[in-house]
Amino acid sequence: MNTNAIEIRGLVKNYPAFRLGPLDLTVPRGAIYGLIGPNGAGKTTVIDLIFGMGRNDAGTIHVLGLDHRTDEVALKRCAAYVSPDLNFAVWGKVGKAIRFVRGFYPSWDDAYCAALMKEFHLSDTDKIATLSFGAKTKLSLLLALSRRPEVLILDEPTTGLDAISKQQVFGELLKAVEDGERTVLISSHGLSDIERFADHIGMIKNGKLLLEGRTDEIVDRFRLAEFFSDNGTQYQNRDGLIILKHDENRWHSLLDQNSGALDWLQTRGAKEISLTRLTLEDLFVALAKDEEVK
Amino acid sequence: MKRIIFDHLKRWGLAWIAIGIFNCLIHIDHNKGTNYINFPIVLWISAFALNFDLQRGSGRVLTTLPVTAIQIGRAWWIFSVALPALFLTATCGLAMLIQFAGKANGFQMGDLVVTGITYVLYLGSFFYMFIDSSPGQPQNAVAWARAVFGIGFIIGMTFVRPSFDTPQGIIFALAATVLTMTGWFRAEQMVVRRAGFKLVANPSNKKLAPHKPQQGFGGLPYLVQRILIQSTLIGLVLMTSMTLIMAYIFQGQNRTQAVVSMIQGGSTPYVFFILIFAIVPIAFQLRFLRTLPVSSSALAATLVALPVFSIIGVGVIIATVGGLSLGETVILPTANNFLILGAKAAVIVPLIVWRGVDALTYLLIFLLMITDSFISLGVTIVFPHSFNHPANPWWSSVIIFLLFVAVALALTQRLLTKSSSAYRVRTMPASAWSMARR
Repeated sequence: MNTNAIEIRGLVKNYPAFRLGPLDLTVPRGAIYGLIGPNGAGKTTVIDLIFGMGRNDAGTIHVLGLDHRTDEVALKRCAAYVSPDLNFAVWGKVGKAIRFVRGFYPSWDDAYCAALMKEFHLSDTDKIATLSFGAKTKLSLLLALSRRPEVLILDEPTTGLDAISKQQVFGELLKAVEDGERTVLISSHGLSDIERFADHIGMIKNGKLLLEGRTDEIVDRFRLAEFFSDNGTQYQNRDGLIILKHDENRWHSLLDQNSGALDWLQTRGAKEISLTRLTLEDLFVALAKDEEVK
Repeated sequence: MKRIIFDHLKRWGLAWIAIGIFNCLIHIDHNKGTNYINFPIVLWISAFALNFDLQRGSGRVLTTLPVTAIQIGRAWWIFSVALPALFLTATCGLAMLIQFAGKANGFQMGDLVVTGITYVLYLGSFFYMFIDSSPGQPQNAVAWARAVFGIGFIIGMTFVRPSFDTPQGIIFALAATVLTMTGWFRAEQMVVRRAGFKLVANPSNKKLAPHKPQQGFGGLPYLVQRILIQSTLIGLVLMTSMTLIMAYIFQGQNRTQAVVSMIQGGSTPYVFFILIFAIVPIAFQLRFLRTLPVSSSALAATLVALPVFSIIGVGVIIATVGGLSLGETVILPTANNFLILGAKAAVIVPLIVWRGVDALTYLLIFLLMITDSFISLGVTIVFPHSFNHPANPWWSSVIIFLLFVAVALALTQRLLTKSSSAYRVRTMPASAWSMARR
């Protein structure tokens, strides 16, 4: 059995003002994978291409071994998509939207659906047009989870949610993956949430993957390095070391501990080197800035 | 208020110019009187344009600016009713000047004034009916009754000119005057309603009824059932009520001719209602539909089939009833007319999947809808006396219909898979913000 839920290889999609890829992305089975990146990085384009919304110019996408083009319907049967962008208002009431979606999935779980409705404070007679933004997102999540998908793909699901609702959403996601069989790919700007809940992350910028791996390993790998040096310019352009700023002879940098940059700094006369653990957000900002400079 | 009006005119200026030229041209045609209203073309510089902006969130943006709700509503009324009426009357006047140039008697100022009043009443009624209604599809019986009455009333006005020389004219004139004035005085409520504020709060401590799964089939058949029933019923109600009105008005005259004229005249606006009730609702949830386990071919076929089957269904019923009650002469023109309408509706689907529901899409749909009117008008102008319009044989309409449907299917399927840009949620064009900077 394939150990990866989603495998993207050499994916390219060209737009007049944007090029995605070539992109390789691997989402292990049973993982919560956070796809992070600034606005316009290409996250939604990747998700769109997985669901056949748009045609890639090169590369392949496989979800649970199913090709996204030749096995489109089978893929969509086992993968669900959640986003605040989805429009259900045309169905008028929540119950009707549920009836519509339920018809596509023989494995629809009515009991779970009822439990989620209670959890999310939704009822069959609620008018969708009058639901709050957060409630619409919860409806989207309810429609996705009740079909018991093997792969759940969420595009900015926590946008517009209050702190309690976020807890509810992530709580349900954790429940969904606790058996180790289901996989979640979540694209979000809420990096603190991703750091807490995602066990894998992929960082994307300008259509390119900057970083991918286990969240704890990535956060452990990088450190904020502060040191003193009279000649800091010599430290620039060294792999594994990104100079962030400096005040006179005090230098702040992002250091990749796997690159050997720490030893290299010491041999180059850097003094009083202090290493501080970074949050995922700090790491993301530093890497994104560096990519921009490049 | 002035800034809101100028902003609207600046953004819709090209539409005004295009419709002004069209209105002038059509009135130069000797067969059209000055009171002739090009329904629903003139609405594109009136309530349709405003509704287009409102669908894109302009109402909410405007309410954040330092103007009162009354000022916003009155500005809407001015640029949707008063100014278009003045503009259209002016283009009619220009057409009359061209038509009667060099002739001793012809230009009648009285006619022009009546035309102006007709435009105000017509646009004013539609403004109230359309803008004061809740956005989206009607959700209850009252809203449905209101929508059907509004649509019937507006189409009725295209056939029965508001006047004081016939009983039905007086009824329409009085009703239209009341609606037009109500539109002006209900400005504030319209703004609150259309700015997207929630009408019903969703308290977090509400009592929740336990979830009871609805019985019956779901999935695509449920979508097809809902949309098809809705749009077919609306079509039937519209066309039947209009046929009855025409049969009543032309009691002593050639009823068959009158009914055929009604079907031909009333069916173009009918396609716009099909657009509103059968195509746009699907277009708005296209992104959601693309994430469900349906192949792009099946989805394309559903998208094209919904408006086409609805139109053909209404056509079959009307041709059958018309044929039984008025004779076989009604059947051929009715069948031809509905086949061509079905063909046009089919082509609208890939247009919307290609472009989304934006201004250019509406313009292209508008051009598609009036293409045959332009061809007919051109033929009449070039060959005013020598050309007789023969009735199309049924097979030519069938071929056109099948061809258009096949092309629409192939294009829709291709466009659904080629790019998601049309059904990606876009940032609203925030042109209204530009007013705040001035």
